[in-house]
Amino acid sequence: MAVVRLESLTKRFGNVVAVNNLSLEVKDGEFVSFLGPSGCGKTTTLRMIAGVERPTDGKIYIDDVVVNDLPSKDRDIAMVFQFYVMYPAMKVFDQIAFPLKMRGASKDEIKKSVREVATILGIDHLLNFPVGGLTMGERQRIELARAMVRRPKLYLLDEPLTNLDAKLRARMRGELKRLIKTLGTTTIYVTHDQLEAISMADRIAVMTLGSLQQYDTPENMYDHPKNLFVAGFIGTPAINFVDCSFVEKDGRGFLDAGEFLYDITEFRENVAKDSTSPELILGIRPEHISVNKQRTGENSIEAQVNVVEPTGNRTIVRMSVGKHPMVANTGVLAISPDEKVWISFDRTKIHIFDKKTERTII
Amino acid sequence: MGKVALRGITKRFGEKIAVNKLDLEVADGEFVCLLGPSGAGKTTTFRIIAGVERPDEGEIQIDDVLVNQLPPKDRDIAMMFQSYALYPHKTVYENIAYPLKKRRLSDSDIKNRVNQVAETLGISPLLDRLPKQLSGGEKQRVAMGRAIVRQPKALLLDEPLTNLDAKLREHMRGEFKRLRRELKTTIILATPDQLEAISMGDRVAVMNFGNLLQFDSPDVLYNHPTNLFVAGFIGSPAMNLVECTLVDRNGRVLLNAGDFTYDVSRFKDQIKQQATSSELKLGIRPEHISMSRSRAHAECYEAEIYVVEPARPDMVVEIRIGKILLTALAPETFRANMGDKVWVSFDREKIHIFDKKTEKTIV
Repeated sequence: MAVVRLESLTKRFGNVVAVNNLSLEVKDGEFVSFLGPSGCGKTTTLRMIAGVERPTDGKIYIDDVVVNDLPSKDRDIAMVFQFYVMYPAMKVFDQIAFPLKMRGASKDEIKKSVREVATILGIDHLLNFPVGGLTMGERQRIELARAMVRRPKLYLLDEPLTNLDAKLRARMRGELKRLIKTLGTTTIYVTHDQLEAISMADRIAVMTLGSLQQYDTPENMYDHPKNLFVAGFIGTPAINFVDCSFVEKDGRGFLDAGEFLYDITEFRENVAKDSTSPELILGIRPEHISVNKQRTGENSIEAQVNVVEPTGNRTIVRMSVGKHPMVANTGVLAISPDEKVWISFDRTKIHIFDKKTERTII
Repeated sequence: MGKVALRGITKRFGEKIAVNKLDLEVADGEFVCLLGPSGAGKTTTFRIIAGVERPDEGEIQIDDVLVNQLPPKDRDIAMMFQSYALYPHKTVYENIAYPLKKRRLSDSDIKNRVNQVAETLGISPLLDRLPKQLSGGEKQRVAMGRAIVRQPKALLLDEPLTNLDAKLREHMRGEFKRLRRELKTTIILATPDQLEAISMGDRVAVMNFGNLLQFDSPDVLYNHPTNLFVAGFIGSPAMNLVECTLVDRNGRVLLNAGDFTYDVSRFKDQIKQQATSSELKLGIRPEHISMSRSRAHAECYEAEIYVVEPARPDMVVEIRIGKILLTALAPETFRANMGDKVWVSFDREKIHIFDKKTEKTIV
């Protein structure tokens, strides 16, 4: 069992508030990601849960027990870092066995546990090899094996895939997710890579400048971001934001973006009720913009293609609608720079934010 | 003009062949990417073009002139490295002006050129700053400015985006491409990242272990790879490659993968002509695998969902047919749990078949 609860957790370094009044709960067996840019407080929070950093304020509970004063080694956790120093000549077996040796486990126990974990991670064929000659992917798995072998009740992973190249990272994400879900151990995973977080986690805690922005499932984060920051941070290429004002004309409601008017009559009531001013921001994700060579309807907007980036099974199209840059992420498309196109937005996928409060209205 | 041609270039370092009989022709104004993993020979090839490395064999021609004997400074090629190497105590203006000062251009000529380049690169407001006051992306544009201000015949960029974080890299890819339209200089960019190469290059030269494997447009490389390495290297998630044996059964020709068989009777003639043995590999890209809850037609296989990664806007789904693990791409509405059973089929038009021994594409 490992339920982790943070209650008003705060950490100050002098005048800097690294973690600001953070409260959240990680359920038993849940895989939660702490996600945010550099300096958002995610690693500091992880270190406080691990016990290598003391909170300035607030409490950390592991299974309903306040652990603030419990030393790291007594918390039954395992931490996995980006880049652990491994003695190159040491055999993989010994590398993994190390924590058990430190505990004084018997030779038989060690042998059994190491083999078990190595088999799960698919590195049992490497046990007799020195760590030195192995690939990044293999080292990563050894790192995980060493964390797993003690069967702790909580794993804390700090950007373990960061140093791998893009292709290997993509491959490891699936493997790692499968592994963690199969083990069923409560896991907290820190990353700055939103794709990693949304691909792998059960829930994600998005932070910036020490504050929690939203704590939700990947699906909700992506489809129903609570504020401008979350909407802009999650998703690549990033969501398109267009500054506009809310205007009403002839009983209909519009977003006036200067270059175009977008009819939002069906959202008019919510917008009027929840906005603090007529200054709004329209948000639409690149994959929810369709690009056509002809005008497709009333809400069709003219755009000029600037750059076309084929990405294999998709195409990133960078355009301008007057002064507004707009990025679409379509399927394979035969299109050239400087072409004039007509774009339309999937109405079920538009977002409207209050410009002043930065909160989501629609 | 900036046509660059390499003919039969070979470079050895002791026993190791770093570049092996390379033939490559880059047209004037073309944006070519050299793509390959570490050790493929990209940087060595650059160094040979620039003149800082002498080839053991072969010719380098720039605008149809043989330049093998020409020292780097006379080849009119500008190289830009990963580390940018900006002069820390010179302002952005001075950094960009430096190559022109060395050439003893007049102050007013220098000013014109620097301003023009700064304008093109969108860094005019930064001219008085020092490198330490610049962001990563800005430093890179200054480095580019310094490289192009000489109006070189060709610009060699060695992994320029490697040190940037994912979001900035994605942004800079678009910037680069936009920039390149205004620059009109021949550009050769080296990268180990296939996404970078296919999204930016007019043509991409895929290299591995010193050999050029295929030199084509991104579209052709993606849809018509001529060998196993290119097929597996281009595209992410990677193409699924399944080992199989060719079998004749009841007048039909099948690929036997152990846990499933795939009918390739329609390719019978091509396979018989080109296969060197019955050991083949079946290739199918993730987006060409479709999944459904019910058995849609005869050529469907029962599979188990191994893991689902909501890598929005795509859904990456790993499935297992027996012991064979395949990666599929599903639309964003796809929902399933680990262990769910699905029926899987491959797009008939998008199958690839490779000869396992020669690694060449048959279909």
